[in-house]
Formats: sequence, structure tokens, C-alpha cells
Amino acid sequence: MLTEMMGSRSATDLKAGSESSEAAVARATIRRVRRRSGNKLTAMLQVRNERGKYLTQVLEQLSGFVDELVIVDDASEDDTVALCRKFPKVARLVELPRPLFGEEWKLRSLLWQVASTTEPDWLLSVDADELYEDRAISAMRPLIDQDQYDWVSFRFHDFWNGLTHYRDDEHWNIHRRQTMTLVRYLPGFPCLYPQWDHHVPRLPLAYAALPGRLTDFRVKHLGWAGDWESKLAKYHRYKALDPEGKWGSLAQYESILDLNPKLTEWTEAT
Amino acid sequence: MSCVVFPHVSWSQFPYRKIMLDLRARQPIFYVTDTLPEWELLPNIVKPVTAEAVALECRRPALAIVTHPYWIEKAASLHPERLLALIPDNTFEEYSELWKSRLAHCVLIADLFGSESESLYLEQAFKKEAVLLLRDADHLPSEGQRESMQGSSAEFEVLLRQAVSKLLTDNVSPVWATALQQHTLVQHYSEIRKAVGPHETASFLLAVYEYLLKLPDAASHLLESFLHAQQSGREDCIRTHYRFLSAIHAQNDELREAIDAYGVTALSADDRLRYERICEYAENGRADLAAAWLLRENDDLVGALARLHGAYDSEATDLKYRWLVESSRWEEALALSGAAGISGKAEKRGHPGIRDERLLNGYARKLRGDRHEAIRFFLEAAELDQDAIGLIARIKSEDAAIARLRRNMLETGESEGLTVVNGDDG
Repeated sequence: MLTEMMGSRSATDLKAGSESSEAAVARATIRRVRRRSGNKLTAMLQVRNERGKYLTQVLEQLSGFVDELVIVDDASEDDTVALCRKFPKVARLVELPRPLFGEEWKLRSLLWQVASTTEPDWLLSVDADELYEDRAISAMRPLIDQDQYDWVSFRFHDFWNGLTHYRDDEHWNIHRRQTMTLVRYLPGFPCLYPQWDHHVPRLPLAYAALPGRLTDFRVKHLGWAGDWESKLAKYHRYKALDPEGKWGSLAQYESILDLNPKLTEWTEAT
Repeated sequence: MSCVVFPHVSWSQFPYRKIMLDLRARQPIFYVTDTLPEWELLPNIVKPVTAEAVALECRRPALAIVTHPYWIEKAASLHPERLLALIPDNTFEEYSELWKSRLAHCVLIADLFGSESESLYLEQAFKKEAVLLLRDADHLPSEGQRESMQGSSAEFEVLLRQAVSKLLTDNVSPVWATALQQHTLVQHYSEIRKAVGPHETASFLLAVYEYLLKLPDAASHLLESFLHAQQSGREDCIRTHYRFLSAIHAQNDELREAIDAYGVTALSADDRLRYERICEYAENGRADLAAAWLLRENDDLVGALARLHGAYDSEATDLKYRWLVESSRWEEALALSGAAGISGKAEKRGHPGIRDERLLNGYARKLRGDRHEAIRFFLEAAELDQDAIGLIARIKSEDAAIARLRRNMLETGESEGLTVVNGDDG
């Protein structure tokens, strides 16, 4: 009863009493883990041999709405690094001497570690062939300048045979699910990736335990939008890297070669 | 030098018979019961006594033992030199509100609290230093195993006997036994973890025992437990697992990390307010208050109060007072109130303050079984707040609960063919 009755009794005025030895450590301003304004957004990308693909478009778009870019180049053999250097918002650019794409979890972990050195409030994990629709870009600041949720997911669409249609069938339906790419960076929070060689989640698994927001904002994945030869090359690459379907679906790999895939026209949201 | 047992079952079912009989120096042993066991079942040093007669037969015993929380005030009213609360699993009306409230009193005033339930034991280990788990680390005994343990001493029984013996003979607090047993538990969960790999439950319990012993690997084991919990789809694992990291960091004087960890888990509106207050404490140079709050938020009352030991400014005193009251530590709250002049402040605040003082006094008296004084204070409190009358009515309901417990013991005893010597519930 007394406890209930004492509900209104609280310590409010912060008069300094006897200071302990820890006091000096603590006196500095404590950085709040969640802030409603002024959040810094850092995009992080891993790239490799991106010449002639979509990297310029992607970096141009990102430069328009993020505060900084962090890039890990996975031992490109073309001028990908030089291309990245043209963008002033690139705050960190790590060039690996040997490729890590055969151990993708190491690449993801490295990218996260480097990105965390920019003291971000939020991290956006982007691949070199992904473009956010305008609605998503407009919403980006409100999405991060809040203190209610710690990650945001989007609907990705696998563009196929060009930039007008996305694939929509049994094996290609990522747009029906949510993909988490934007997270609040929480210092000290576990940032382990599963030790998988391929198809590693782009963000540390533990972040999924935090409250998040699902959105209907869309992302164009252009990795399959190229010509037949580029798809064939990717098919062979997947089959070589994962011949037994340990990391992905063999049926999906085979469906890359489908000559008549079911496609749906992309319409820009108003 | 006598001993009184306030049990939850008849002697034939009493789980700590062997320990009691080893306390031969404390004879006679008065066993509070309404049934008369057959003579061959009753060792000659054990004397049955009814609850009504116990005060006449045995005033100021050397030792009182309760095995059901309902008895705690009755036991306290005898003013024993030492008091043990040994609470087995599956006692009568377990986890009812009254059971929980009386259990809290057991934890408060017993010189040693023991529980067969590991979760109950752990809960109390954050509130009290002298606690024992009344089972061995390497197995959860089934009923059959428990019976067989009557014949051969389990490790916890040996520890309990030694702890009680040192307490009675040398006046040594049983905290040494607590630490010894917790080291065994650390070893136990380390071995499980080694055998099955990092594991949500084993790693978590390992982290908890390491925390209690202030061992260095608590954080890493807690984190691996959290990750497993998250991968197992435990939706609330941020609060149930990750938050504990803030206590571990606070214990290690890693205040910034502790505040960050707590902040991550501060998802509700109330938690956010507390987080903000903790940040402000730290920013205002009150690392002691910030760390104490973090420990308190993790239910580590022992750690929280220890952090504020020696801090007598109004902020620290108010916090200590509040936490003591919240945890029913009425006597300490009263002592602090007197020493720190909170009662003076209470007078200035008018009726609510005076009422609180009277309630505290009433609770404290009742805790020690001084029912008449308790009622007097409650009546005085009721002059200022009619709701206090409800506390007197609550005493009646507690008497009814003890009557139910005695009836239950009686019925159990009858079913075993024992002779009823006093059927009066009164």
C-alpha cells in the first residue's frame, strides 16, 4: 500500500552530492541512443568490377540524400575505385588486395566495421545495383528522425530484361517480402553476421530483435536488368560458387535461364 | 537451546528431517503441527506442539525454521535468535499474492533463505546475500530421487548443515556458503555450455552466476545467450536478455556502456523516462546514482543499495528510501528516515508524509509479529487515510490463510493415518 501511495514521490532536482571516482568519466554529455532529429545517415556498399553497370547512378542517388558513403572495394580489376573517388561524400574507401566474395560474411563484417567508424546514427546497406524510388528518398529523413523504431524495411523488385518490368513468379518474388536495409547504429550492440559464404544478410542478425518499421517503399534491384549474356555469366558464377545449393536455391539458379519469365510492369508511384 | 519448526507438511513428509536431526545440540525440536505422528515415526528429540501453544512452550528459541511463507510472522513473534526460511517446491497455495508477499518477508528477516526452485532462488539472490539453492546443481530431483536423497546427503544438505552450524555456534553469516554454492553452479553451467555449445539458457544462467560472483566473463556469456534467444525467435529478448548487460557493465564501472545498453532496451514510455533520468544523473556528475538506477532496473537491489552506501545527500537518500519501501524493507526505511530526517520532511509535507510514517511503523511491527502494535499504527494511519483500515482487514485474511494451511496439513496427515490432536483452526 505504501509503495502505491508513494507513486508520486520522485527524485527530480539534480543537486550534486558527493561525487564518486566515476563522476569525471560520466560528466560529459551522454549520447542518446535514439534521437528525434539531426541524425547522421551513412550508406555502406561493397563493390567489385562495377564498370559499365549501375554504380554511377547509385552513387549519384545516394549522394543526394545520405550524409556519408562508406565503400569496400572487393579487389576490383577495373576502374571502380577511381569512379568511387569522384564522389565527395565518400568518407571511407577500403581497397581489398584480394577478393572476399567467396567468404561474403567477412566482407559484410568488414563493411560494417568501417562504416561504424564514421559515427553514424543510421546505416543504409546498399548494393551497387540498387536504386530507391523517389517516395522512399523523400521519406528517408522522417524515417530516421524518430525514436520509436530502429530499423526500416523496403520492398525490393528484381528488374528483368530492362528497366520497365520486374520479375514476379515462384522463384522471384522478393517484392512480396520485406527487406531490412536501414538500421539505427547502436554502439556496443552485437553486430555479428552468420558465417555464410554467400547470400549473407546485409545487416547483423541481432538488429532484427529491435523494433522496426515495415514500409511499402520500393527499391529497384537492377542486377538482373541487363542482357542475356550478363545473366548467363551470373548463372555460371552462382553455379560455380554454390553447386549444391548450400547457400541458395538451385531451382532459383536454374530459373535464371527461363526464356519466358513472368514479368510485371513497373509503375512509378505518384 | 531449542528449535522450532513451522512446517508445510506433517513430520513424515518433511523434507529436511535429516538436517533437523543433525541439529541435536538444538534440542528439543518443537514441530508445529495439529497432528500427532505415530510414536515410532517421531524421534524422541522432536516434540509436536500446536501453533497456539508454541509461544508458551518455546519463547526465544535459538532457531526457528519456516518451510511455508505463511508462518513467517508467527515465527518472528517468538523472537528467535536465528531464523531460517527453507521453501520447498509445490508448497500450499504457491505463488498466490499472499504467498509471494510472505515470501518477501521471509527473505527480509531470515538469516538464511533457501529455495528448491532455481528461479525463485535467483530472484532472491538479487535481494539478499545469504541464500541457498536447496538442490544440487547437477540435477533437478524427481520425487523418487528426492526420497532417495533422504538416505544419502546431497551436497546442498551438507552445505546447509555447515552454514546453520556456523551461524548458530560461531555467529558466522552464511554468505560463505552462498558463494561456495554459486561457484559450483558456475562450474555446472560451464560444463553444460562446453558440452552443448553456447546456449540460450545455459549461457544466460552462467552469466547470472558469474555476475553474482563478479566474475569477468558474464558479459560475453550474456551476449551469446542473447544472440541465441534472438535466433530462437524470442520476441522480448531485448528486455529479457540484453538489458542484463547494462547491470554487468554497471557492476564493472563501465558506466557509459551500461547506459548505452540500457538505452537500447528502453522501448516503453516509462523506460524512456528512466533512461533519460539516468543520462541526466551521469551528465550531472552523479555516476553513483546512475549506476544504482541501472542496477535497480535489473532487480539487483543489493548492488543498487551498495552503490549508494555512504551517499547521504537528499537525492541519494530519497532514492534509497524509495527502493527500501518498494522492496518492503520497512525497518531499514524507518532507520534511514530517522537518520536522514525524512520524517521531518514528511511532517512538512503534511498528511501523506505522516501517514507514510505510521504505515511504515505498522508494517515493521507486523513483520516482527508484533500484531497489536501494528494494528495501533494502522489505526493511526487510518485517521489520515481511511484506506489504511484495509490493512487490518488484511490481517484477518492472513489468519484465514494460515488456517487453510493447517487444514491442508491436517488432511494430508489424516490420509497418512496420523492422529489428530487439535482440530481447531483458530
